[in-house]
Amino acid sequence: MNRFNFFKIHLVKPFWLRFIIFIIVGLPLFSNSPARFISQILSKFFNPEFALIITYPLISFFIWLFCLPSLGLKKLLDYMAAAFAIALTTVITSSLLQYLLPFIFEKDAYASSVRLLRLYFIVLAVFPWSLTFINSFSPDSIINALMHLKKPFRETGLHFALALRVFQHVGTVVGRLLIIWKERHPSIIVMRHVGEIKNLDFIWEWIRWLACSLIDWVYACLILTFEPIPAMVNEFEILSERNKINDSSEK
Amino acid sequence: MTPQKSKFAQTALISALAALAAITTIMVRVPIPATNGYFNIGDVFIILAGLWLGPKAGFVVGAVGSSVADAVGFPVYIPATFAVKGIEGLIAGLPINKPLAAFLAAFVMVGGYYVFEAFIYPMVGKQIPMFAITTTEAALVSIFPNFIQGVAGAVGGLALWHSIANKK
Amino acid sequence: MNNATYNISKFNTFETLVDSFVASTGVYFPKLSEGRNSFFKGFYNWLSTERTPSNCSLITPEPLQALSLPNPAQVMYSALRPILNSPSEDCIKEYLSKYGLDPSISTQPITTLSGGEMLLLNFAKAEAQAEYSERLIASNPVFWLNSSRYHHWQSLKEFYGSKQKSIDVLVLNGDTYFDNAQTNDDFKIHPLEFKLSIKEPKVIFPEIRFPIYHAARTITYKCHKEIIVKSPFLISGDNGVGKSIFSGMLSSIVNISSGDLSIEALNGETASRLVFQEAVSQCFAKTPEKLINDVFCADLERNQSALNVFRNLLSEFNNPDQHQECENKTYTLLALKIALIAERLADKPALLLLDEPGWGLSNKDAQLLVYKVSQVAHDLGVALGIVSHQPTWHKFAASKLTLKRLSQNEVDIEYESF
Repeated sequence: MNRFNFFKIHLVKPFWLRFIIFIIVGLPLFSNSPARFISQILSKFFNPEFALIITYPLISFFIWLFCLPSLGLKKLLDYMAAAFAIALTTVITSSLLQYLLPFIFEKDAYASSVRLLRLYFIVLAVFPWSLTFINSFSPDSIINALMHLKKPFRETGLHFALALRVFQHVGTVVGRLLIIWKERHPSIIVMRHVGEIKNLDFIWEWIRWLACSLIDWVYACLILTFEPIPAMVNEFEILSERNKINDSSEK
Repeated sequence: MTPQKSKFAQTALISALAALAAITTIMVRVPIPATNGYFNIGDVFIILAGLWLGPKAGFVVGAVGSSVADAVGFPVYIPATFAVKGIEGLIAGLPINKPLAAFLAAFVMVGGYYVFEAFIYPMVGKQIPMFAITTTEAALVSIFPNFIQGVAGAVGGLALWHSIANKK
Repeated sequence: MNNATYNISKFNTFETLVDSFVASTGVYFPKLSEGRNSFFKGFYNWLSTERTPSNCSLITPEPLQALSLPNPAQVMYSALRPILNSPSEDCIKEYLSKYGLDPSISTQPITTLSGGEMLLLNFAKAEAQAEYSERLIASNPVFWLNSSRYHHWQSLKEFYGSKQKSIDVLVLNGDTYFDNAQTNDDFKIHPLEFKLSIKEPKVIFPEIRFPIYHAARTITYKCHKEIIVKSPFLISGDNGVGKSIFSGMLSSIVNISSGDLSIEALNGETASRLVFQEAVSQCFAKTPEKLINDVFCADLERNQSALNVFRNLLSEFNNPDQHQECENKTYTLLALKIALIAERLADKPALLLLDEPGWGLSNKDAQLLVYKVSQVAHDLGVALGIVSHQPTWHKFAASKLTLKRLSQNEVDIEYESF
């Protein structure tokens, strides 16, 4: 057995204990109290302003550590990369807006900067935490449990199972369309073949092509999403009828 | 077995549109830095659901589909999205003139987000850090991209409804 | 008295097969190849009409369509529940094993199974349903299977027979298993050579936990060699061995994590293109000609060349007009396949890969299509690869790459020149 399994939150059972651990670890994201408490302790060693500033990086670091065993280094780095991108764009553009449109922002520049810094680290923590949370509660197992229950939960379980199957199907449709599209146009947003057309003509053709492609994509998504639905529905109708027959014969 | 209009067909269609709303929201994201939110095209499917399947389905597609998308990266916006996008879908499904319902839904979405970003989140954010992500002033900045998103959603939703559902 | 019947109906086109399937099952199957308007109209009618669910066991034209639950365990649980009340895991695994499926796939998402595995799961499900189904209606029940697995169909057939339930089979003309009709074997091979370099390429599919858990999976092609491949060539192997992934790697669609896989034509060209097996899902345009126009909207020379190839290839078939846009339908699957091939050929890659080119076509049409494509490809200096487990294609091939599973994650590649 992997020696890190003990730290993998998604393996914790029962699911409610897993949920409680998530809430406890994510508490600094829900309440100011933990941050205030940590900064009070830190202020015994550092300047209080500095203590407040380093509290949030510490919290983010702790949450990353919590997510690491469950996600693995590669996935955590992927999530962190996305989180950094979001946090940086948010903070940089907010600062820019603050400079360009001072009348709609806080007057105290220092307070505003601290707020942005805190926001930056909160985004860095929230992103991996929420994705680990989502990944740790598969609706599949919940539906499985529902389907094993007695009526009327079983009927509800069937509806949930169908909904999940459709969600799964849509995910595959979009993924498959993306692969097919990538084969045809490797750069995705620029057509593969540009021939001899240059400059303005090209820009015009490109805009036209992009607009047509977007419309075709939406229709392709809808068509492929709807395609198996009649067969799926037919099967669930039969399952439901069979459940009713079984239930009545059990009485 | 008697012939019937299936509840499973409704479940499947609502799930399909909710999944499409979620996936298109996740795939096309343009951040709005001032409010830490983002511009997306998921509204097309929310408005389509309302127009095609009625207010209840519109509400579920808007509330669930968009909340699932927010769960991937923007969990702070889940409460606002659940309420605002749900109501957007619900209004699109009202039994009134279809274009009117679509545009009304879009405008309610713009207004709804403004209320959340300008008043509710700053108020809640004083107690819960996660929600301290926007201010009354900054919420003004998001009105324009939200307006564009709403109008694009209404136009797209109407166009899809016309080609998919208007087949009588 | 045994009233069980066994009927086989044969069809010339995929469209007529699906029509017949819909008529006999009462289950609506939208035909993608008839275009947007027709699709949405049919779907809308289906949604707004009251109907009685069909009580037949179905093997649908596409095996995935009949698998309506998220994983094989749930599919089998639902199918068995009416007869066993609470079927155990062991019982489910027993059904899977009977049809040659590894029990470990029981919790794997349905969408990650190969075409053959999906079809075998349909067999297991059909057997579980035999007790309470009126009959079995099976469309193309062996198409996705390797010939070594045809006996699973025989088992299912016998099982239904033992329960005195009827079976209706719908197949396309010239099906390798159901139809012994011989087609013209007088095909002339147009050989061409290119260099294939294989250096233990490895693909990693990461773990997915939402909405359904899917463990991380790797496939390593344990082969380190450079081969001069004679085109046309066949990529063959058992169900689920990784043929489509290999062709995806060859055409740079599937990313290689380590190792290398590359080709080089005699003219130095290194690009290859792939026509996926389910041609219908590749249509991003209203009609095949519009598809070509959209792809080459900024390259008029290639546009014209692709249109010419499209029209020439289409004219080789009987009644070419029936495959194109007309009042009631937009196009046929055959026309769409030809358009996809023409679009790729106009790109003049070093290699064109056709993944299961026979899917949805009668044997006669499929063979004629591949033969004509091999001629055009040869004239353009493009090598041709056919990805299939169907023995039909041997006569078109000058060589063969056989993929053989060494272990769960390792595959060997053998080259054989004819």
